[in-house]
Amino acid sequence: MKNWQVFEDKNIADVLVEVYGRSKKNLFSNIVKSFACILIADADQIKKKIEKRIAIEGDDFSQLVFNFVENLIYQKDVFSLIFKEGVFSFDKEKVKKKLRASLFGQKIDQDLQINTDIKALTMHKFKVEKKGDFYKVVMVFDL
Amino acid sequence: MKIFKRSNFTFFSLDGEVCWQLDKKDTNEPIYIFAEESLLSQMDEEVFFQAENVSDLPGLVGPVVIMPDAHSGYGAPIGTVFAVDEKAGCISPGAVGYDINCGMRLIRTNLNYQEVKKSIEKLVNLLFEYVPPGVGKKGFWKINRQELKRIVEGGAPYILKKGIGWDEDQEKIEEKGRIDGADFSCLSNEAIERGISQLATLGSGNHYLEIQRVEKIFDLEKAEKLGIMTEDQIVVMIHTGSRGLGHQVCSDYLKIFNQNYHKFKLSLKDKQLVCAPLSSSLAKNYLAAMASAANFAFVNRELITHQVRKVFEKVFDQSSENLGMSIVYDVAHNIAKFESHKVPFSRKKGRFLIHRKGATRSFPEQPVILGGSMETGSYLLVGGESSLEKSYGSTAHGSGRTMSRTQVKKIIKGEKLWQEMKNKGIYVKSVSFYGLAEEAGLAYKDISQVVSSVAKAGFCQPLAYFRPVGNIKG
Repeated sequence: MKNWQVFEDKNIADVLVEVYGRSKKNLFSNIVKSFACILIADADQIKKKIEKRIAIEGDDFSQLVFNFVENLIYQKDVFSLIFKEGVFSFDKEKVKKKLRASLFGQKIDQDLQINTDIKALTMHKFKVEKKGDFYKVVMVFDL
Repeated sequence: MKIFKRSNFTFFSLDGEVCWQLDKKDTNEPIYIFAEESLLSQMDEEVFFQAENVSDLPGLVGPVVIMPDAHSGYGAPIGTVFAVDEKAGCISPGAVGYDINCGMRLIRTNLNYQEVKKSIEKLVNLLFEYVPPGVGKKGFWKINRQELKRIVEGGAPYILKKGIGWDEDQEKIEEKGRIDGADFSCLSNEAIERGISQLATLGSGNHYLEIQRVEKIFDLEKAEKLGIMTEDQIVVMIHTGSRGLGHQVCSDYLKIFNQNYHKFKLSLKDKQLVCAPLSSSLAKNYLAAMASAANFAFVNRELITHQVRKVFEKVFDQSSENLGMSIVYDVAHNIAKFESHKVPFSRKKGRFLIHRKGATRSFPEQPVILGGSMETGSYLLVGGESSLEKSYGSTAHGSGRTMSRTQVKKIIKGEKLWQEMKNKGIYVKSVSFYGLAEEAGLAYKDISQVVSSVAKAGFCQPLAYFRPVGNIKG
């Protein structure tokens, strides 16, 4: 089974991507990889030179996913960071959902050929689905 | 009456030429599409679904207007104009767009193509160095939070006072380079940090900096008044906006609006179109943040202009004043502004908040810049009276995509396109060949048809057509 699929032809100027996961952790891991593959022409070239630890909150799981992807865009714009992999854990809190992530990657430099910049995650068609232990996220990126 | 059909959509021609009304069953306000039939047939159908959602937004005072270069976006199509009542209406951040005050700037020169021909590669290479395009690049102007506050609240006039740019530049920018009401405290930390790291950069995607030569002048008298004097004259066109700061403002307020939407008891068809009454503090905060992003974009284009002038000075060993490098005009195409208008096809008049997403203000006698693809060229136009009658003083913004990025990359490779363009006399320096292929001319509508449509609608009339000779892109 694929870990993600890109449907560029569903949005003329932008890109629609579906990311799948066999667990919550697997879903976040595949989000990191799909993000890198859209942005970098050959994502295998990304080196694990830097570890960045982040904590993300959300009112529900869907918002947690949304806020996490937005943080990947923020890390790229402010620190020029792109990640190859991540290790994820979840805190159980009464009100908010919390994700802790250690992300591994590098600064974007001239050795990495850019495919397409991701400028924003839109709310258009954004959806997180859960069937049993299987997760699916639908996202449209502004490019 | 002439009728045009596309799948489940039917359009009635109102003038037998470029004005179509979309037949809708459950309508709030009508939808008018201004396009020649050939362009209407090229629009992706998602445009019409999205336009229907826009027409159901609360507080609209009249029709939704769709421009000939429209294509689907998220929430509202790119190429949409609508108006809401100043007091009873709502503001929708998604219907302004992510790249707030994405816009076009045109700079003239005294140079002609023969004088520049041998220096094109040198110019493009230096521009690439002085105006960094692409992901993760930093601009020449390093700022801290306090300076960013002064920039977003003061707009272009603030940096002109600091000696960047020419004093006369201000008069050539929409709203004189500063939208009232900007408030730094309405920006999130993320927006501030993205702004600090990306000021004075071009960006990527369809943003570009282009050296062009005047290929055709349609109205010499009016063109001369704007500094376009003769064929083969060299001009520079800039297409960029508020960078990550604007995107973050849109993202932040979409989230806040959605969290609070239930309070306003409004119906919502698409989360991307979420809106808030203009009387609410949410709307006021968004408008202050939007004005901040718009001012950031004006400053960004002014800083890029400063760098462009420096590059030309270096290459031609003359001052930019000597080279006549004044701004022809600078105009936004993603913005919401309070303006007084007559509602199209109605006698109703009033002061409204005009949303322009992928649409340009086009008041009578105002210069309008329509940027085409990097292969096909661009136009300078002048606003016409009919824009006030039919489109809330608005017109199109460019060519508009007809093909997705994946599709175009399957048809043409970046390296091949680069060589083909070089053979045609267009030297391009791009961060990546992938990005270059995405912006190939075949991915866009024919800009001449867009210009023909807006001219027939009377929104604006072409003054000059420019052909690219050098281009940098992210």
